[in-house]
Amino acid sequence: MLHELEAAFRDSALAGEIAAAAELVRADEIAAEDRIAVYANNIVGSLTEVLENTFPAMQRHVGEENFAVIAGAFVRSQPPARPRLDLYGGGFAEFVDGFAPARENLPWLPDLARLEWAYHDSYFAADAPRFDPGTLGEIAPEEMLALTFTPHPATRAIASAYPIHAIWAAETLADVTETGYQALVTRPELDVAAWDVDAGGYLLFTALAAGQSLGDAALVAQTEEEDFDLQGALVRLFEWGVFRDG
Amino acid sequence: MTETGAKSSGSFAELPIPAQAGIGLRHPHVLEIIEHTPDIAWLEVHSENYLAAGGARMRQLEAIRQDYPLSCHGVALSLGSVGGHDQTHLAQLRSLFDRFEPGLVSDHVSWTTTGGTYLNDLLPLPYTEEALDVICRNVDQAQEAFGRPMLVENPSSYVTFHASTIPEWVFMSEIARRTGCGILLDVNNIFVSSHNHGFDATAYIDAIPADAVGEIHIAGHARREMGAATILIDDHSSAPIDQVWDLLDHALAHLGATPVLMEWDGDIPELSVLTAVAETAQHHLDQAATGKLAHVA
Repeated sequence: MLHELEAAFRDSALAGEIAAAAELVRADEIAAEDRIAVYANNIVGSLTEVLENTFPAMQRHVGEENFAVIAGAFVRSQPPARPRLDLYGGGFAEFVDGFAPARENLPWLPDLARLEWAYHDSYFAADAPRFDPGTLGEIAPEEMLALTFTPHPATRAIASAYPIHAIWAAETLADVTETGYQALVTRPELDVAAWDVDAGGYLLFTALAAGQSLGDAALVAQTEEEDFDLQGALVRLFEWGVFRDG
Repeated sequence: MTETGAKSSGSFAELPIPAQAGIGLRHPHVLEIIEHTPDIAWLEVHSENYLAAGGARMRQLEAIRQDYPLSCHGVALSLGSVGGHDQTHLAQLRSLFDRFEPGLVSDHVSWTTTGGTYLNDLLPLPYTEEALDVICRNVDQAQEAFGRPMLVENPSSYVTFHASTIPEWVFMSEIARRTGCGILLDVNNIFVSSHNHGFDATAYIDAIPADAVGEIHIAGHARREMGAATILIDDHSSAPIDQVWDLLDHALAHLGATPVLMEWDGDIPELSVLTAVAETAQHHLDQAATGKLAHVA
């Protein structure tokens, strides 16, 4: 009996099928359906609120009502599989990508969701000491290009066909100016930051994160940016704290 | 860099939860409390907010635990689930408890997860022999997994089931008797449910075995009109009303000195508003102690 009761409550919230749950409960001057609806609304409403808190830029750009429609659809189709709200929303970008009303008018929306999820995910990621570039002073110049680096566990990289960092940072879409099409999210200590990064810097980081040597990663970046400034890009990556010690 | 990722078992001084008034720690107040260490007898966190691999929240909880007795109150254990425990969740909670050594750990007499779907609400159980068997099995397994006893909290609810055959106060007492767990008595929940379902709140409290109760919760609730009737909603968005303070007094007279916690989860006000409620609760605790002494004398 308990099994059927649980399924009936789940269906009342996620499928809008109130009848089965309502049959299980007593009615008085308040209808059983209305009593069940208190729970059903709270389930969908509270999970929608979790998404609102994780994806504030999306909500800002599409408006509260539209966001509630997209988020509500996601909640009903992909409710949390684990009892961890901090892990909920990782599939939102992919869902938004397949959400027809958004895809036509707001093609950048899935990438914005990816960036906001990266920011959220970075906040909760494991801690690690950041790489100290001062240690490079001990390396002979001819050995420099053979170096490898380990990405910090809280670093995330996002590439887009749209100026995604500017969209993320803008108060309104009218404020968006054409900038880089890549973003790096970092949290070397406790504060998360999202950085607008050019194609060369992005390729350098992703190649290094994949385990390539500094020399090989620089070649990858040069294929994209002919006048790629390796030293400048590397200094920025160190400042942002994208690598960990060891 | 610190050894945040490392297990630091035994690194905190033992701080049991005192029989005084504490408050639920909420994110908007964390930095203020770390910086100014206001005079609050103890703090309670929602366990699930602190299961992350790393980051600011975990560091903040370390600082909090240095200065305050800490209780870990879960909202996601889903003790009433017929499908049993999420073993990963049990293990992650155990790690949290081993690391921060809370004075109390607790969760609710309700269910949240079904068939691998987490519904993020404290959903009601029918009070049947089947449900009693299920929740006692799950409490046994949780206490075994945690390596420590836990408290279970009476729920608020907006429905009663045709199938229910056991009064809620008997159901609560039976869980404690069969599993050896303690009871977290939420007097606001008793008030809300007594209104919604028409039972006597003071008789409920009197039926609870006093020696099983390890903690009391107080909170605010909302009234919602539904047609000609009114339903009370346990929204934790205001201070307790007078009748809930009266129920607290009734509970303290029945239970004796017990830790009391103020919960405030929605429309969270300034910290000073919460500490003022805690001061009022402490006044009620002090009055109860005085009354008891006078009575004995």
